Amino acid sequence: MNDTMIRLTDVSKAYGEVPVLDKVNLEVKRGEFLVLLGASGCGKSTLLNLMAGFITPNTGSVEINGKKVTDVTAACGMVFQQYALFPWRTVQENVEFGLKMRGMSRQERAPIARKFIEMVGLKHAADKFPHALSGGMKQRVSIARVLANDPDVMLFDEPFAALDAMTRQVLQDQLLSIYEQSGKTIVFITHSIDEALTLSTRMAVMGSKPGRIVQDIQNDLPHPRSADVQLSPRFVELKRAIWERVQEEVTRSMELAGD
Amino acid sequence: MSWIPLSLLWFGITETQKYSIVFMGSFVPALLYVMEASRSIDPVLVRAARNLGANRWQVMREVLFPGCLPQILSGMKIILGLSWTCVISAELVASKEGLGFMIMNGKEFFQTDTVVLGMVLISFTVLVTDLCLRLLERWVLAWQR
Repeated sequence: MNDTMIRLTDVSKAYGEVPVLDKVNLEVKRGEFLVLLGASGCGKSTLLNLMAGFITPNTGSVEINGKKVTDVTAACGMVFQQYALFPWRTVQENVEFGLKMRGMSRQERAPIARKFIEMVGLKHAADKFPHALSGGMKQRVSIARVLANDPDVMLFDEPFAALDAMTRQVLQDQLLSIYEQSGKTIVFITHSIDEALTLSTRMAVMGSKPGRIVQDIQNDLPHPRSADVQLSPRFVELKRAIWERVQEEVTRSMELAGD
Repeated sequence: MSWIPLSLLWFGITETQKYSIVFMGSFVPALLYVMEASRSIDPVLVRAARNLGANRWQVMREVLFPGCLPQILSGMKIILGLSWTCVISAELVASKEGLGFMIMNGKEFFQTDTVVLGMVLISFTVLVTDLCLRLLERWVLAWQR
């Protein structure tokens, strides 16, 4: 059995003359929860878009579950920061979308969608249109929509950045329990160190100009990541280590930018 | 409008000539409306659909079309008014039937009542088509409320 879910080999990407990623090598194991941390503009999103096949690398290769990514692939389900729900479809229809595209009949896809809507706790809102939902609810629909499509990998592009702190906490807890139930491989982008420490099993800190991975840490904090864990010496120790590295990178990139 | 004389030479005083005038008057604005509408769609929706396994044809049918529909419908209201103007103008210039013909005929015989009736009917038709489109819009775009 192949243990590596995502393999990036010498991936470089430039937009015109501007190098965004330089020879990035990254392996993500099946069932890992990897959080990519970094300041804005370090190529985190580019890395995620490469995995989803939205863009192709200039050099190097991206493999998901042993298959080279050459086009947009449904093997990587993406949860966007802007939710990206279809406003003309109800919650139920949004969650069914991927199954419908695969040609599954209404009778087959409805119970699957219902199961995942229930999993994210939105059973009561199944027939509502997205505009009637709060930001947190929309993001839960978006997560259910990806789960229903049963991808190999789930990609999260700063999914909770637009939400208030309370909602974010609830969704983080929910995501952890979904992760434990589904056993999916997850790659999650954030610039919050606390969020990274709460969610991940492994963290990769990215540096910028050009983007590359500067620090790769296993997160050995015990589950569940309760308040006690979040106040433990180990949590603070990890946070300090990451914080110093991030600060160093941010300062360096600001100096390079000349401001 | 400037196509009316040329279309008369090509098609004569026929229904085809009226159709050609309506086509000339409405095709370009309709095209512009659809282009503008498709540009207004959030690209992230297209990416999301592709990411969920939709092929290009499915993106067209499931994302671009429903996403454009609000602007297409509001554009249709304007274009329908425009087309109606084209029909009447073409008929006023030369025709053998229709409201425009009725008005011009009334004018020839000094029948002011016929002329006014024609004018009222033109306005009434616009009101009715607009109402129909409004109902259609309310029904199709229920998700906006």
